Amino acid sequence: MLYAQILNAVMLGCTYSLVAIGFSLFFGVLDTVVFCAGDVAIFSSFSVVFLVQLIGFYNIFFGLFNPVAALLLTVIVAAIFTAILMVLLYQLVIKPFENKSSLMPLLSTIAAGIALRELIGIFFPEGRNPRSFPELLSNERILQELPGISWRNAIIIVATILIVAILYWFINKTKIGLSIQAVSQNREAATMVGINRNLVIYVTFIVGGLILGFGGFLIGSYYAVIRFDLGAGFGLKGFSAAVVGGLGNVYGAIVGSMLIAFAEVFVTAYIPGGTAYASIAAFVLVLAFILFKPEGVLGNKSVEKV
Amino acid sequence: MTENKIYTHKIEKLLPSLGVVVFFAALAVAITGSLWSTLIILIGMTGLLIYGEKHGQVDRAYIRVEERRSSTLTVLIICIVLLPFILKGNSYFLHIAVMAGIYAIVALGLNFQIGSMGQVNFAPAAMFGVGAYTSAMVTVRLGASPWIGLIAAMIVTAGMGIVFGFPALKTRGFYFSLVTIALQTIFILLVVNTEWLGGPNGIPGIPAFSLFGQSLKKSGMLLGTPIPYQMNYIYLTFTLLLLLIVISKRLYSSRIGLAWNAIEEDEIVASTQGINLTKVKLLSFSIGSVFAGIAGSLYAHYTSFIGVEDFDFNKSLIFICMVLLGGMDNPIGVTIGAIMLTVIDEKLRIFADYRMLMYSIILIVVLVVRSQGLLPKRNRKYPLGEEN
Amino acid sequence: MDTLLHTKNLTIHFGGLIAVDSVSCSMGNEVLGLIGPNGSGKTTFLNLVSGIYSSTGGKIEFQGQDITRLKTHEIRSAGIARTFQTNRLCEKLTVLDNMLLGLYSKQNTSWWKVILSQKTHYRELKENISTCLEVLGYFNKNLIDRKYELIDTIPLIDRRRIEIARALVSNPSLLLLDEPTAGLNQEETANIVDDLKRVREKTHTSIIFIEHDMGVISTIADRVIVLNAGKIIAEGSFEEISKSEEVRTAYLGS
Ligand SMILES: Nc1ncnc2c1ncn2[C@@H]1O[C@H](COP(=O)(O)OP(=O)(O)OP(=O)(O)O)[C@@H](O)[C@H]1O
Ligand SMILES: [Mg+2]
Repeated sequence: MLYAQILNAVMLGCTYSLVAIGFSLFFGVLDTVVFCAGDVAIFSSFSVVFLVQLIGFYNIFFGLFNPVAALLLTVIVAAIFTAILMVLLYQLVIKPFENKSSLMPLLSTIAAGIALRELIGIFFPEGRNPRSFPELLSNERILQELPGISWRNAIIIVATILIVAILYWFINKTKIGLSIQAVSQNREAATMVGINRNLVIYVTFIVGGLILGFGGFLIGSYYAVIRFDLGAGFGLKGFSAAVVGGLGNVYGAIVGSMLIAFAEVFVTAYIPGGTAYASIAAFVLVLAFILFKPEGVLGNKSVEKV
Repeated sequence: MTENKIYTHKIEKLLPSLGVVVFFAALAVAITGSLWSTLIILIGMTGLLIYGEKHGQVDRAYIRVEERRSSTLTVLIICIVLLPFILKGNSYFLHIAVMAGIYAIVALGLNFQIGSMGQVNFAPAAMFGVGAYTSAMVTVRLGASPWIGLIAAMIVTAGMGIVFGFPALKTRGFYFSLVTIALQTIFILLVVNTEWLGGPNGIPGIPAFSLFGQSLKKSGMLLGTPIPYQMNYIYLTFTLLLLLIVISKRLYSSRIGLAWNAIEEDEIVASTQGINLTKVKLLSFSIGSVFAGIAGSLYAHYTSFIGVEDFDFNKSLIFICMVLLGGMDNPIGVTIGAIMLTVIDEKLRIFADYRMLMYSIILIVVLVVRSQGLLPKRNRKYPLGEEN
Repeated sequence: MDTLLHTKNLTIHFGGLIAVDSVSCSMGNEVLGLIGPNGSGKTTFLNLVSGIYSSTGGKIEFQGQDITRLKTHEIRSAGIARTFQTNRLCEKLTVLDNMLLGLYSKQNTSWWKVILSQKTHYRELKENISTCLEVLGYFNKNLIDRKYELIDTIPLIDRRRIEIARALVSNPSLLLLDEPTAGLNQEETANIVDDLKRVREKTHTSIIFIEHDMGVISTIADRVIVLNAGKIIAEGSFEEISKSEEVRTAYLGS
C-alpha cells in the first residue's frame, strides 16, 4: 500500500516537474511568470496524437525504422513544434510588455493559455472530447515480482531524470547555458559583461519549449487520456511547484513538484473522502509557502533594498 | 458677450445630457439589434472614446458634466426609468440589461484592487459566489427574507474580503495573483464537494426580492401592456449600480483612493507618508468584496438558481477583462466596459464555443494596444481652492 | 538644548554585514549633517529612524518617546518625515496629489464619512490644498501653476523640491533628507540649498541632512556627524571634523 502510494506520488511528481522546470527557466531570465506553460505542454500531447493518428507519421516511420527510432522521432518532432510555439508566444504576448508592469505579461500569458486551449478545442477534430493517447510506451510490467513498475512508468521516471541531467549539463557546462545562469542571477551585470540578452531569452524559450514538449508526451503517456483543457490544471500545479521549490530555481522546481505530488497522493489515500480534497491540499501547501516562506525550499531569501 | 456666444454656450451646456441620451440609445440598439448592428455600435463607441481621448474631448466632457451635474444626473435617471420601454419590453433584452448591471457592480468592486491598487485579484467570481451562496443559503435553508439575505451577503463578503486580502499584506505581484487563483480554485472545489451547499447540482428555488408585499418576480401592467418582471430588477440593479458608482467616485477622489494609488506605485513611499498599509489594503479588498457580495445576492434572487459554473475561474477572467477594457481606476470606464462585454457576450451566445477564445483575444489586444483601457483613469482635479 | 532625537547603540546587520554599528547620538533643534564615504551606512541610518528597517539592536527615542518598534506610518504620524536618495515621487500622480499624500497623516476623514457625504471631506480637502500650495510656493511658485501636471513632465530639480515639500507639508518636527542634491548641477544645488535655508528660517524644522558635497554641508549644517563602516568616527562643527585625521583617512583611504 505505502509502496504503491510512493510510486504514485513519484510518477505524479515527474509529470509536474517538467512543467515546473519550464516556469522556473522562464522566470529566471525574464522575471515574469509565463502562465501558459501548462497549456503549451498539453499542446505537445495533442501534437503527438496528431502525428500518430492523423497523418500516420508514426506508422510510416514504423515501417522504415525500428519502433524505438520511430517513437523518438515522433516525440522529437512534437517537441520541436512546441519549441516553435513557445518562441511565437514570446514574440506575441511577452515581448511587447518588456519594461512594463510585470502584471501585464501575467495577464497576457494567462489569456494566451486560454486561447491555446480553446484553439485546440475548436480546431482539433472532436477537440472538446477526451482523447485517448496512443500507447507508445508499453504498460506491461518489467518484472513480474515488481508490481507497479511498468515499462511506461520506468521510462517516464528515467526520461525525467535524463532530461534534468541534460539540462544540468546544458546550464552548467555550455557557454550559452552559463549565460542563461548569469542573466538569471543579475540581469544588469550580465548585460554589462557583454552577454547578448536577447539571444539568451530566445535560447531559453527554445530549451523551455523542448522540455515542455517532452513533458507533454510524458503527461499523455502517463494519463493515457488527455483533454484540451488539462493545461489549466497542469499550469497551476506546475507554477505552484515552482513557487514551493523556489521560483527561478530549476532544481527547486523538482523538489516542489514532488512535495505537491506527495501531498496530493497521501491526502487521497489516507483521508476518508480525500480524493475531493487532494487539490485543495496542494493549494493549501502553496498558500502556506507563499505566506510564510515565499522564497521556497531552495530559493534564497532577499531583503528588499530601499 | 454676443448673442451667438450665448447660444453656443447653451448648446454646450446641454451636451452632457445629450451624451447620456445618445449612450442609452446606442445601448438599446446594441441590445435589441442584430449581431452586426451590435458590433457596429460597439466598435463605433470604442472608436469615439479613443478619438475623444486623443483630442481632449473626453476631458472637456468631464468638465461639462461637472458643471451640470444635477441636470445630467436627472437625464441619466430618466433614461434608466425608460430603459425597459426602450428595450421594447422584451424579457430577453431586459435580462441582458439586468446582467450588465450585476456584472458592472462586481467589476466596480474588483477595480478597487486591480485599478486602484494594481493587485490583480483572480478571485472576483469566487467573491461573487460567496455573496450569491450566502444569500441563497440564508433564504432557502433558513427561510429568511431576501433582503436579510442581501445584508448577510454583505457582511459575509466583507469578512471574506479580509481573508482574501490578507495575502496581499505579505506578498504582491505574481505571488499574490497565484494566491488568489488558488483561493478561487479552492472555493469551487469546496462548493462542489459540499453536499450542504448543493454540491455540483447548485441551489434551486431561491426566492425573489419583494417590495411592499409585492414580489419583484411578478410581471407588471403598464398603460394596458404587460411588462415582464425583469423591469423590476432593472430598476433595483441600476439603482444600486448608480449608488455604487457614486461611492466609487467618492472613494477615488478621497485620500483613500490616493493612498491606494500610492500603494500601487511604491509601498515604502506610501508608508512613509503615514499610510497604514494593512488597513488601507484590507479596506480595498473588503469594500470590493462587498460590491461583489451585493451583486451575488442580486444574481441569486434574480435567477432563482445558482450553480458553481457561474462563479468559476473563467468568470473571474471575464471580470478582469471588463475592468481592463473599460479603464482601470475609472468607475465610469469600468461600468462601460462591463456593459459592453456583457452585451457582446449575450449576442454571441450562438457561438458559445468561441466565447473564451474571444475573451482571451480581447484581453491580449487590449493589453498590447491600449493597456489603459477605453476610458482611462483621470488625473484628480479638485473643484475647489481655485481662483477662477 | 532639548533632545529631539536620541539613538542608543543603534545597530543593524544584513547577514554578516553590519551596516549601522552601535550608533549613539543626540540632536536638538538644529540642522545635522550626516556624511561618510559610499556604503558607510548613512541611508541605512535614515531607514532605521524612519522605521523602514527594524533594528537588530539598540534604541531610538524621539521627543522622549521610544519609537524603536513603531511602524513606518506611525513614525510619520509622530512627526518624522523623509525624502529618498533616488527621487521617489509617485510618477503616475499629479504634483498636487503627491503633495496631498504628504498630508495623509494629518487628515482624519475616515472612509465611511467619505462614502456618506462629500461636504466635510471637501471642506478638509480645501484647507489641505491651500496648505499644499503654500508649501510648494516656498520652493518654486511655478509649481503652483503646474499642480495638475503629472510628475514625469517635471524637471529633476523641481522633483527634488516637490519631494522635500511633500515631506514638509505635514509640518514634521524632524525632516530627514537623503542627498537632496544628488544628480543636480552646481547652480541647481545652490538653489536647493537656498530653498532649504529659507524653509529652515520659516518653519524652524530640525533637519538631518545627508550630503556628499562638503561645500553644501559647511554652509547649512550646524553640526556634522561622520559615519564610516557603520560607526560614528567624528562629531562636531564642520571646522572640527574637517580637521580630524580619521575623517580624512576614511575619505581618502577606503
Ligand atoms: N537591505 C539591505 N540588504 C543588504 N545590505 C544592505 C541593505 N541595505 C543596505 N545594505 C548595505 O549596507 C551598507 C550601507 O549602505 P547605505 O545605503 O546605508 O550606504 P550610504 O552611506 O547611504 O552610501 P551612499 O553614499 O552610496 O548612499 C552597504 O554596504 C549596503 O550594501
Ligand atoms: Mg545612501
